Amino acid sequence: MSFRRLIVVPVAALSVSLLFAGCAKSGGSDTTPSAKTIKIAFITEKTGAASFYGAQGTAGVQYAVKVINDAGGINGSKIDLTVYDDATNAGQAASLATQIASSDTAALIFGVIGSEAQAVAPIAQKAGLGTVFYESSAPGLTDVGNAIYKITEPGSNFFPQVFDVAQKKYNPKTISIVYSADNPSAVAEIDPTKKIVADHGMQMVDTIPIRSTDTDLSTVAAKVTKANPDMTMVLPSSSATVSSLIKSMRQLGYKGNFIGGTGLIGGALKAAGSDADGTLYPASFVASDKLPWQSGVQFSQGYQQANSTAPNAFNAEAYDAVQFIVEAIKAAGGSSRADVLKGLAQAADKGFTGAMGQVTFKNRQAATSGVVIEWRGGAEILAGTSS
Amino acid sequence: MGQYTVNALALGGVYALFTLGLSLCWGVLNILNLAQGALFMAGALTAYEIANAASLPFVGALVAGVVASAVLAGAFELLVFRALRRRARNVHEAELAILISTIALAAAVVAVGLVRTGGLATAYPEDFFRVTPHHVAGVVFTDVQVLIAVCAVLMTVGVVMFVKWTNTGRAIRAVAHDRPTAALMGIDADRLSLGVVSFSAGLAGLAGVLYGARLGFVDAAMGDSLLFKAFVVIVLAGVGSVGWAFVGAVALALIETFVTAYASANVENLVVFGIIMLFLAVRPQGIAGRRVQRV
Repeated sequence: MSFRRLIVVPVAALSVSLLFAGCAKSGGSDTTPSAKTIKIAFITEKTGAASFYGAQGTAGVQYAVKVINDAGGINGSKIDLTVYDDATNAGQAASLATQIASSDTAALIFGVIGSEAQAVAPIAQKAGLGTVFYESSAPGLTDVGNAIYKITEPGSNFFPQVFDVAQKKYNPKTISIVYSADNPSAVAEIDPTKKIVADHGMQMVDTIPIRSTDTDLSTVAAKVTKANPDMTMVLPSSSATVSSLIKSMRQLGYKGNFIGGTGLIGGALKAAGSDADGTLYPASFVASDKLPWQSGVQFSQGYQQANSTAPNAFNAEAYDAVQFIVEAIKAAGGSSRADVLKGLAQAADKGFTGAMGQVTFKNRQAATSGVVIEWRGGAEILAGTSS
Repeated sequence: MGQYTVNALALGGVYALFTLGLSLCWGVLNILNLAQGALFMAGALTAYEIANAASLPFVGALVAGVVASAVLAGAFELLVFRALRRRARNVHEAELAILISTIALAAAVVAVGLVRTGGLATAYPEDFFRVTPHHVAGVVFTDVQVLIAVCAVLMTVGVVMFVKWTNTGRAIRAVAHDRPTAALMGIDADRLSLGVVSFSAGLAGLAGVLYGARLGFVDAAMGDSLLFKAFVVIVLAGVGSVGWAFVGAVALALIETFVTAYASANVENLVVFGIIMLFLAVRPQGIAGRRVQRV
């Protein structure tokens, strides 16, 4: 094969892939230049396997920027937001972070995949670029340094609330856990969950690993259904995995209830249809007039008015990531990178009120109230809060 | 035990339909089509789009899915594979170039799938295919599982008979054996390649629609893991051995199912690859392949 052809064919293949990644950068890029602006960058998965989450975060960040700019900006300066697409690829995320680090961007927001967050954090830290991560369930992320903040509380912190609600609603005595063994976040949640199960006086029947690439889960479904626990906890990596498992179990006649982790937020159960009705899972936010914090209700109403759709937890977390940076710039009284870093520390010490309610920080990791969501009739319903 | 066997036979049917096309393309045309998983998804996605837009019954959406995958691969054969084959200086150069181009095709098709589904598993309309569970002697099976198994058997028998006993089948085997000489004998190798590539993709599309109906949804990544399984089946059966590919597919599904059921999904790959390594050591040409000695 000639050298030219050896080069041309792979380049053509790569071009097709990059075409889809690049489109989102140009098409999805949302810049609002102004004479006096504060540049904020947002890296997310607008294309690729996690594009669903990227779209949710983008809507939340864009809504926050619109609200702030419409209200006159931060101390008179408008936010100039640029959305970058990492195409659900850690290498691309690192490359974008390097590009942003060498620009005059004041602050960075990142969501949602943990492995990509791990690639971005050291670059942002080295550049002294204040960065707010949402979701990004990578262990030790905030340990990277003083520029790294995480606005989403780990979902497993809310599991006791989910079990409280489940106990009241379904009174289960036995439980099986099905988890993605190739997802470090799901694996890390097993041992704490076993303790919560014991604390609630329930008996663990089985913990069954699955792979996140598998969509035929009929054998696992048969295994769980045969053991017939009162409740099954699903900690999957994809909506396809969880939908396949739930549907297969229902076909086999399983009558018990399901609970899950934050992987079920935002419509992951849609494909399971009515088979998933009654499933309980934790989140940092749900759109509801019954939320115990007024800031969440106001966010929900405003977002719905602007976007003609109710917000979910991803929208709220991304919105609060922007709010946190705004609080930081206000606290520091300036928007240079040094100001943002100083301001983030001050704002974290003070805490702030956002869509997720009162947000406080410990070691740059946020703590929020959290809610328990019930999936019913294709929608998320508030089933419980910490209060 | 009975339940696991039923699950394995249905899963083996999906593996068989998927592998049949890949094996045909690889064994007969020397085209290793790495877009087979994407074409599988394209069939399921087309059925979803048709079922939503035109409210076609299941059979109509099934045909649309099969045709869409076949046309997509056929267009690629006409526009890309053929050009690469002509420009290549030798057979190996052509095969490598075609292999790489199928990666591009797969990336493009999956990207379209992600855009259309928004990156989430997306349910078929309620009335697309009502999956009805049947209970017999303590075993639950669904009508779509039966349909998958029946289709896999019929397609395998049909393809084996076609390739062995028809003039076109003989011509296909001649092209596989020696393309330039087959052309000298008056065989239109380009036309046959187009037919085989399209038919193979159609089989992937058929498997995709049936598997989508089995799951009740379409997912952009649903074909990804199947490509890997298909390679395992082909190693077991021998490249180009269509009949034995069916046996390999069912064997793989049975092994996977029983390892998951009685051990754990964590050790499934360990067992499957252990068998493959053993097989490669003892019989590298597969069950049906003939031993070739380097001289």
